[in-house]
Order: sequence, then structure tokens, then C-alpha cells
Amino acid sequence: MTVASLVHTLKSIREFELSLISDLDKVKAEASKKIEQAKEKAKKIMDDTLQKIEDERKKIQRNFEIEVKNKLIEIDTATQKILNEIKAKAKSNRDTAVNFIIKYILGEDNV
Amino acid sequence: MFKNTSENRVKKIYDYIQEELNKQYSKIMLDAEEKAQEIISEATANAKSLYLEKIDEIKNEFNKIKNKSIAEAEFNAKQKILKQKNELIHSIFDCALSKLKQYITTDVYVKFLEKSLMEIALNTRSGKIEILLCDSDTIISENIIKALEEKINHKLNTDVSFIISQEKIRAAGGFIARCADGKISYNYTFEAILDRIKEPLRPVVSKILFE
Repeated sequence: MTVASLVHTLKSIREFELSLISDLDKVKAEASKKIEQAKEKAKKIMDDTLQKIEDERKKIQRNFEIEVKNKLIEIDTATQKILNEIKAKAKSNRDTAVNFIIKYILGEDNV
Repeated sequence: MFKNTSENRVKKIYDYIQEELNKQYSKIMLDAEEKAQEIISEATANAKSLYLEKIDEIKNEFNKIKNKSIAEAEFNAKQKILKQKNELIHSIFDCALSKLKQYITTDVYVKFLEKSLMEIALNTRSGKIEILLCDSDTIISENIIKALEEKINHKLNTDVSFIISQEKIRAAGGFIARCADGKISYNYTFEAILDRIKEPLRPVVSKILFE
């Protein structure tokens, strides 16, 4: 091997080394990019989920409000019905109750 | 020839190194992809778990609010019903008082007086008892009281003396009796009687009214 060819070979090795370093950097950059993209996607998944939770919370709240409102109306209607029944019964039994008290005070046989 | 052989050797070394490094690059990329997949899978699993946990929390929270609202409404409804029943029962006692006034000029009132005086006689057994009639009382006279006194003493074997007081009381009906020494008095006005019987009679009146 001549000196000239040895120098040529050494230069060629150096170029090859530089090319390898450059390739490695590219591959590392590509790998990092993939991981960064995955992290961004993961963040988006979490953000979407939080938004989904908020939307679902609003939906559940609306349904619960309707449910509670209906239940309260139901209770109110039932109460009003009972109150009306009580009034009606009291009206029809009023004289019996008054007479009972009077008899109790004045004596059963006296009234 | 020598030169060519040497270059060939170097080229073979380059190719070998390149090939080995390509394998390494592939491995780096594969690892990165696996890591990326792992990050996404973990995020998906965490998101799913968070979603289920939060929705469960939200439902529980609203259930508590719902149950509390319903319990309050039911309690208020019961209170409303109870209040109306109490008002109606109260009005019955008021009505009874008004109706009792109608009896003040009838024989029934004398019988009521007799029954009441018997209770007093049984309690005191002897002595003078002053009777304070109400100002609207027009039927009870000294004669009636004396007749009742005789009847009661005879029937109960007591020795009480009833005297009508000049003092009148303001009441719908009934009377107040007090021993001569003033230590014991018995309030038999309709108002006082109704007050006394209101609580014990409430369940019976309620039953008559509402059942």
C-alpha cells in the first residue's frame, strides 16, 4: 500500500465515520419525534376525556334535575291529594267529632 | 491488484459496519415505537379509568343531592299534612265550644252541672264550696244548686254545701268551684275543660275526623 492510498483510505474512513454519526443523529431525532408525538397524543386523549367527563356531567346534571323536578311534582301532587282527602273527610265527619266532644263534656246520656 | 484488494476489504468492513448499524437503527426505532405505543396505551387506560371513576363520583354526588331534595320534600309534605290535621282538629274544638254555648239554657246543662259537682263532692267529701257561675248563665239558680247538693250528698254519702257566689266569671259556659278556705279550686268552665281534654282526646278526634 502506498502512502497516497493509505491517506486516501484514512480520509475515506473519516468520511464514513462522519456519515455514521449523522445517520445516528437522524435516527435518534426520529425516535424522539415518535415519542413526543405519542406524548402529545396521550395528552390529547386525556384532554378529550376531561372534556367528555364535563359533557357527561352536564348531561347527568340535566337528567337529575328533570328527575328531581318530576319527583317533587309527584310528591306535591300526592300531598295535595292527601290534603284534599283530609279536608273532605274532616268536612263529612265534622259533626260526629264535635258531638263526640260535647258528649264527652256534658255526658254521653245527657246529649 | 493489491490496491483493489485493499479497497475491497475496506468496503466489506464498511458494509458490515453499515449493516450492523442499520440493525441498531431499526432497534432504536422499534424501541421508540414500542415506547410510543406504551405511552398511548397507558394514557388510554388512565383516561378510561378516570372517566369511569369521575362519572361514578358525579352520579353519587347527584344521587346524594337528589335523595336529600326528595327527603326534604317528603318531610315538608308530612309537616304540611300534620299542620292541616292539627288546624282541623283545633277548629273542631273551637266548634265544640260554640256548640256547647247552645246547651247553657237547657236541662243538659243542669245535668252537666250535677255530674261536675258530683266529681267535686267525691274529691272534697265535706265543707262549703263556692260556685262561681259564668255571666251568661241564666238557668242555674240557688234552688237548683240546693236540690243538686241534697241529691249528691244523699247519693255519695258526702257532706258538702254548695253556695252560689255573687262573683261572676267570663266564660262560654261552666263554672269555677272553690273551697271556702280558697285553697282548692276547680275550673269547670267549658274553655278549661276543652283545654284539659284537648290532648288526651286528640287521637280519638283525629280518628273520627280522618278515618
